[in-house]
Amino acid sequence: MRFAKIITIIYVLGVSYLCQAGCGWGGPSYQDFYDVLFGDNNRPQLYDGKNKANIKAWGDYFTDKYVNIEEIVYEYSQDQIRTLIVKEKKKKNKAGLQYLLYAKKLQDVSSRFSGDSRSWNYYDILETHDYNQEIVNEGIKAFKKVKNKELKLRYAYQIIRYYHYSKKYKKAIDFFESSVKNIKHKTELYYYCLDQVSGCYFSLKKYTEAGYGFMRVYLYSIDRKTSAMNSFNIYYDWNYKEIAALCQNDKEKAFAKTLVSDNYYNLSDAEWILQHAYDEEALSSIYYYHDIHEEGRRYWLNKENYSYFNYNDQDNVTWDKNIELINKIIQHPKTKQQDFWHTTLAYLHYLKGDFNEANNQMSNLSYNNGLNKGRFTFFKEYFTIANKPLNDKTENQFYSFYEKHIIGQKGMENTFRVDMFFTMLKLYYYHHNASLKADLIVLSKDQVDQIYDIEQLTKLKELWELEDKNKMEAYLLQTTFGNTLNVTDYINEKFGSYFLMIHNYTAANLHFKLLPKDYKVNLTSYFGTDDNYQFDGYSNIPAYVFSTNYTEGFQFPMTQILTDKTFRKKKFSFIKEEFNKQELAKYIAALKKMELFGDADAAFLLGNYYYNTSKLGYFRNILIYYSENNACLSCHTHKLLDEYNKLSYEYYEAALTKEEEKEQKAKITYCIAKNVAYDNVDYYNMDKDSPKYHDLFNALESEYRTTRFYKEIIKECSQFAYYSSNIFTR
Amino acid sequence: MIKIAIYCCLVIVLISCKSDNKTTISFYHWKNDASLSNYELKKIDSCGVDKIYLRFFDVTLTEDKKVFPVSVLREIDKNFNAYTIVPVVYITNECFKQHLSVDSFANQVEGLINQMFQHHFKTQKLGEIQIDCDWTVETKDDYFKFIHILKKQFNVVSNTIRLHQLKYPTITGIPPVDYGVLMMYNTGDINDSLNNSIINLKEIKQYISDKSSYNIPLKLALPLFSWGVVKKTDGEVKLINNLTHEDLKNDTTCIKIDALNYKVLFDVYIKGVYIPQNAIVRIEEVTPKVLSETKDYLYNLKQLNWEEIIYYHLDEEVIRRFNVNDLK
Repeated sequence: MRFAKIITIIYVLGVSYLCQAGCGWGGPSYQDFYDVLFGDNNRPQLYDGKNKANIKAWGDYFTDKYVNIEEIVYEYSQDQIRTLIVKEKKKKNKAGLQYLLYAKKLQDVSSRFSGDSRSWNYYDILETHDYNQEIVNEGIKAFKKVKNKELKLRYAYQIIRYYHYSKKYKKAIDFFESSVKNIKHKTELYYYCLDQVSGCYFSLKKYTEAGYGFMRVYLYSIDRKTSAMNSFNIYYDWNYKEIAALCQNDKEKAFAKTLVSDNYYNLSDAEWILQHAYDEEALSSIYYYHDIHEEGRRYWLNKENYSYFNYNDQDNVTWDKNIELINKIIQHPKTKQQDFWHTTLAYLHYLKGDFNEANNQMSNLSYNNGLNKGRFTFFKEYFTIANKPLNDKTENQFYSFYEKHIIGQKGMENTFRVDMFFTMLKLYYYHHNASLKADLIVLSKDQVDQIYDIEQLTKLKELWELEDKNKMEAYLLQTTFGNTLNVTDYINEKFGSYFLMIHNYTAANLHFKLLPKDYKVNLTSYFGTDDNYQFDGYSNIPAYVFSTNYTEGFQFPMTQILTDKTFRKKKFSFIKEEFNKQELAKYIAALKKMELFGDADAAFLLGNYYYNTSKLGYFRNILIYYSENNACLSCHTHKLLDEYNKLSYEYYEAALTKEEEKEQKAKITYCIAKNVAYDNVDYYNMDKDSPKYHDLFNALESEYRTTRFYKEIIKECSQFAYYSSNIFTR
Repeated sequence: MIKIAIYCCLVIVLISCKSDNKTTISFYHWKNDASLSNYELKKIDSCGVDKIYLRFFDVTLTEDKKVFPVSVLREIDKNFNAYTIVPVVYITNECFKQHLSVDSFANQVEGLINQMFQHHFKTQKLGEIQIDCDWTVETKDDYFKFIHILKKQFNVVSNTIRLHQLKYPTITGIPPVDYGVLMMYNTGDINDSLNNSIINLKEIKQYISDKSSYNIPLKLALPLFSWGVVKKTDGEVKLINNLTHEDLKNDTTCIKIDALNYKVLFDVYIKGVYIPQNAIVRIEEVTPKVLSETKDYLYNLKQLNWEEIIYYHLDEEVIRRFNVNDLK
């Protein structure tokens, strides 16, 4: 999980081309590891008894008289309980059943807290919906009367819970503090009470008391662990010092440090926890909890710049601290689940990149700790394969492993195995410098669409064209590209687009030439149904890509917005109404030639083209793929297009220098102003105060005031109109 | 088709015209718990507030297609007694699709309002009520009849008007109330990742212009609240109330991807709400600037006059973001 988080940061910050893509599987996480070993419901540190402790307590109370005690407690109606009470002879048992009857009555009253009073009478509504003191009094009376401490706690629980759900938080706290807290009978039911009262503290924003309470419930109860931890997780601003001040012993303090302190991770702290709170479950929870906790990302590696891409350069000290700590746990005389800790250690070594030591650690397993052998076998078999060099044989073994442990398996636990397997395999590939295969694990086809890295694309093409792919290679390609895509065509198109973007039109042409005539990019959600234009990722680029707009509105059809008709001049008749990327490359090359020979219009068209295909342009989708059109500007561009705005500016400048006709010069001047305004990547804070921008508007005002274009633009663009009437006239 | 409209003229000319200082300011109180904090009391007093529109209950359709009140206020802070209270009842439009007995329904609503008012506001005389219902062409006959009956029971009956009802009065009709309250919030589509769905002047302008008029007096309801619209990767959308850019500005668990949206980098709890990794949180907030721009636009309309502004809604966390001058 943490690795996934870190990797996400790296993506977002743009360390690699993968920043264009979202993450598929994340990086290795302790949570996945833990889930594979223990499943969703058997995590030692979050063992949720699902009322088992409660049922066991009832069994003990009735000395196992009622074999269907679970049914009686959770399913029986009030009448059925009454029948049992009548039949029961033993006084103690009768008292227990009478408590159950009270609990059922209270449950019935509480169930009407739903707010659906089904009455139009306010007093009925208040009566049915509001808190019922009478039933609380009945409980308090019974609480005082019963001698059995277990039953006393049960009545207390009902009363506190009812107060809690009735939002009588203070009453709940007062009752707990005065009547329950000092009961020297801290059984499971005491923690049921504490769980409720901690919720009341929380509602009253007494976070320290709430946090301490939840922590103790988590630490000492059986049934309420998950609930307490979920409550604990809702708030994140716990104060360790304040909670520690309430702790009654070092064990609690150590545990508070484990859960609360956001900066504790160092070996001495961990050793301190080990010394004072020795408890395997607590220790494993250190790892688990901090992995899922939002602070956790600072914990595991204690560094946020970890990436697969500097995998071998990582700071081994952090790993070594972890490894040292786990070794201490393994050597601790109270440690029972040696297999778990050896596997944890193996996993750590694997993450560190020491595949051999990971494999060695697994030979220490004895399979006699009562843990599920199959779950450990998963890692043992995996680490055995991963200790081998990368070749077809090993990859086929990985695939066989995948077939054996994952394919055909169902359920949540298989999801954990899938995640675990692929995240570990990804590391294996990176470790063996097979980054393409590692990336294929992560990347979907949509994500590959965003990649214009020639080296990676070449490797991808080579992998695709391999005649004797091993099973894992075939599997990875198939999951990314499916069965129908011709990846060779796809890569050729991408090569062509890449060269088109970097202005190498000859190379672009060479690659586009290899495509079949009817080639189109299969982008299901891309621009297809509009009556505006029908660009399919390769063909149907409209000639309007060489036009420009004086008013803006991407939501309008191009014919309404891109009104400049310079591209319609006869000398540009070689530009078809619609064309494909290969033809586009030719047109640009031709226009550049014309521009070199002093053609102002050609320069203007090139300025328009680069502007239109930049991230703020009307046709920003033409050169790159992005299947969603939203306000995310960074999603609609690529670093290869970073300079397009500047290029546009340069061609407009060239056009202005070459142009002699005043009307056209006014237009170009305005386009440059527009370009300057949008030159800033931050679309929302455009550079409206740029002196250059003012100069251009000044020029429009002073030199082109008499043009037809000036009059039009005053009408259309309130920005210029504002400038004209406010700034210019000052 | 590309949906973004990039306006060439992004520089918005801010004409510094404030709303008329004589405009009456009121608040909606729209919570299940009718309490008033000291801060809230102080703030509304500073704004010269005299009237509070207090949501009493909602009416919805039950699973067996019957109408009953829900979320009925039980306890009401005694401090409300210092203000003129206008009970507000929200009724879902579905209720009027059932062709129920309108007379009997109106009597039920009237009865409950009166009972509640007498129970909590013994020192006040109930003079006015307000109904909030997004009626449609399909339900307008029953709804107007319902209003007509209530009019016989209360001195003043008002109701809320949505923008579409203002724009198409001939289709949706004009209810027989003493005045309407034009709701200037939730004007956009919550699924639109590009725009603020709470309030969007561009959207408002599509519905209301110099040509707009309405045949009954209008008051103006303006939003102050903010929220985060969370869109999870599976498409599920949920809201985090009172979330603002300020809250996320320095939050390292998410990254701003454009003016409104943040990408959540890790599984986190934001204001107690669990947000999974990769979800997008769109902040929609009404800032003092947006509020001022909206008021400027609305107050300069030629044919509409607003005799009162009712802010939605009275909540400490919401109103803390505005100073008294912002609200006046």
